[in-house]
Amino acid sequence: MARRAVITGIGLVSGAGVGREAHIGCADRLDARPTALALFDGSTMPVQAAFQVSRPRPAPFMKRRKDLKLMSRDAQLALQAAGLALTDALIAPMDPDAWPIPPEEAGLFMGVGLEPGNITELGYVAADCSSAHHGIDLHRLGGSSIDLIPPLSALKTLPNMALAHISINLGMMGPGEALSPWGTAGIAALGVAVESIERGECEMALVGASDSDVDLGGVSTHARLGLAARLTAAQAQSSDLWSLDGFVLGEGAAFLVVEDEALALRRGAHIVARVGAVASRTQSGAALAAFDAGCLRTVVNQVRAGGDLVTGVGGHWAAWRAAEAEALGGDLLYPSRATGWCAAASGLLDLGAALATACDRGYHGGLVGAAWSPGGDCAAVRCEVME
Amino acid sequence: MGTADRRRIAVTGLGVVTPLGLNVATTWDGLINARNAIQRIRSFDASGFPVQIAAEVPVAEIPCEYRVPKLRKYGDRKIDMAVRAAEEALCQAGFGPGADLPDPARFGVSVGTEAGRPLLQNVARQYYEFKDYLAGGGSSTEKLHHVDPLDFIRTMPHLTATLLGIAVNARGPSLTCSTACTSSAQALGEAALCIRRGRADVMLAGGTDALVEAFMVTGFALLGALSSRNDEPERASRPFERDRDGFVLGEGAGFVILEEWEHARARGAEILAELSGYGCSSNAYRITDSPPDGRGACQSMAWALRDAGLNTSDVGYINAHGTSTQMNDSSETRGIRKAFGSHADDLAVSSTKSMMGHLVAACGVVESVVCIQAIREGIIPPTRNYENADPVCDLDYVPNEARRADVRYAMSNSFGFGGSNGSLIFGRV
Repeated sequence: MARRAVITGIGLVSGAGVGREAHIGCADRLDARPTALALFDGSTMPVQAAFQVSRPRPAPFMKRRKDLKLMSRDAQLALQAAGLALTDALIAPMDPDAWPIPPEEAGLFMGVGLEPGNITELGYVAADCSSAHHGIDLHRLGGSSIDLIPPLSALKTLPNMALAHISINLGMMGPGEALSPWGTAGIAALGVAVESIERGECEMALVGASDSDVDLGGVSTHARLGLAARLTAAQAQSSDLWSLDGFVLGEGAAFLVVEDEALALRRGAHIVARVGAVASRTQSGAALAAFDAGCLRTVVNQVRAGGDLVTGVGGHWAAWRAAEAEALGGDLLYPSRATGWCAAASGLLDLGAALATACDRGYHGGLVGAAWSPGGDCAAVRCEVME
Repeated sequence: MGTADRRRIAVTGLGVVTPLGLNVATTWDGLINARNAIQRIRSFDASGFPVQIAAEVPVAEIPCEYRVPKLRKYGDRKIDMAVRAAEEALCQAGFGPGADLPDPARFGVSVGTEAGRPLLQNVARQYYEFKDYLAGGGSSTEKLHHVDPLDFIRTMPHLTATLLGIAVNARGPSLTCSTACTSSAQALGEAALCIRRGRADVMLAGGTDALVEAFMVTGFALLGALSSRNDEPERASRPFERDRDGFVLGEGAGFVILEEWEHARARGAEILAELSGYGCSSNAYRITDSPPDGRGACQSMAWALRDAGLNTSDVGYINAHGTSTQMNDSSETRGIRKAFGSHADDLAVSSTKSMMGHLVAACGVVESVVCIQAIREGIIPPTRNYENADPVCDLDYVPNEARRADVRYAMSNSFGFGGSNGSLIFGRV
């Protein structure tokens, strides 16, 4: 009998809160407001607010708490969400004997984000061996400045580090991949995981995505690219946030436990949804930061059936939402109303929040998660909500 | 699904840019003649650095033609190398400029690469612009004029896949894998799966990386991962050898055209090899170290064998990850012994990193091309600088001289920082 992939656990961490319950009804939260940037003083930036996680808390899912210092913020968010997803699937993350299959056989597939110019960490080094008007002094870099470089800073530029920390802390040795098509990364990872389960490479997989671009480099570059809406901290509290000229930035992580339906039934797991078709398509090649509504329509139409609910990408960006509505037919769900645009984590975070809401409200039917990536592709996945 | 009733994957085009040359022929000639491409760093003054050697592509500017010229503004060395390698592969497959390209909806791109690294001089420039913020005082940066959007766009890992997709009008699956040194092996594996699953008929798959710049050389040196044989670069990379002391950073790119078997036959393309199997795994061990028992590597190889439907004795050659670090080489040896059992003693295992260094995200695809060439030419490239045997590395590493051999199946191994593993098996047509 053909294997069929089902979702049995949801773990979400975002500005909307921590855990599945905190994300129920995200799309309806008219009062959700981003908060003033917390990782640096952004009071004179054109973008001053974002949906932020007050503090990532991955410690309960770590073998050694001292390893926290090796983990970037997005890796911490990822590990926390991964642990929450397992817990939601009735699997004790830190007890290998309690897993339905040995963790060393479980797959791990992640969508990962960018490292947009680590100004705060490398800036001191760069400045120490340069001046405002002259280039880098390489002899100084190789000499005294080298002591300023954190030993693991080179590794922190590798996108697969979040995956590595989860694999190590949870003992997962099965097939593992980190995919980095930015905005569509999470949906792409879900597609790869489903195929891996259907091919019999693993019976169960953790699938997730995380991203955190609310630091100095991330905020300034998103603003400069025209992706982030200009928003003062005061406007964030009072404006109509549903008519902005860009995304409201967010950060977060979403993980799903995906397993072979036969395994889920055998162990008596609550099946949240069956995962159906996944589609992705490259954009037509217009300007790299442009939105190609036709591309999104194509992938959504490849997976959806009549009557399906569909999550939209545009979020707080009014013009974008209008283009999406025209392409996809309106009545889209926007969980990003309460989470913001979380880049690599967006698609899966939207899907996870929509699934949590559908289950809470007793919805049975098709749910399509959609995602878009600047300069890349569009992706969509269809789930049949069961719980 | 068994191997008999699934779509087969033909390889119909190969292209590389490596420290040994700007195409497959030159690179292959260098490898089978045990030529060294590791030298003192030429692209910047590294004389004050603890590590001053690397395997650089031997030209300052990569000669390449962008099919869509306006996209050149997004390019950098990493992408230029990718464009050139992809063109070589496309041309060999019959998809050169002016030729009919595959149906756009059935044509995809899969790339293994890392995030673009911010150049240190750009970081320094931004630091000075932002220094008031970093000092906590705040100032007017309202205009953000110093933040160049192109800097950011070039850090997007998927930029290479996007640009290549636009260039060849590929509107099917677009994948980017970023698992450090395993990236391009996984990109090939995922591309093959796209074809097997019916999502595409043709995939342009490969990888690219250009790490030989000041910050990365310094960063990897601080990790203790690099060889510091600054005075004898030609002897620095010595995989599996007793006196190995680390890997040598390299740069390069490689692409292959993967195609559904019947699709390739129907259009009369020359099938160079079959991509027969793919496996991947995680070590779950440590961020920088390999497990001494080679467990993750073993799992990856075992799954590739299973995926290909092969017995261990079918494989005649392994192009090893073989980085020349103490830990990787002993761990990989243990992994091969576990995966191949008694047949391990009959395997030829070589590491071409001994000649062209470690191409990081690009190593998987370039070394896959080496495997395909070995199968087609009946020659196994050697492990250069193999002088003294290490008791914990006890396989046949094809020391120092290429060897004639009839190889029906060859395996390429790639293992990455963070514990990501990938193995690919190629078969003779």
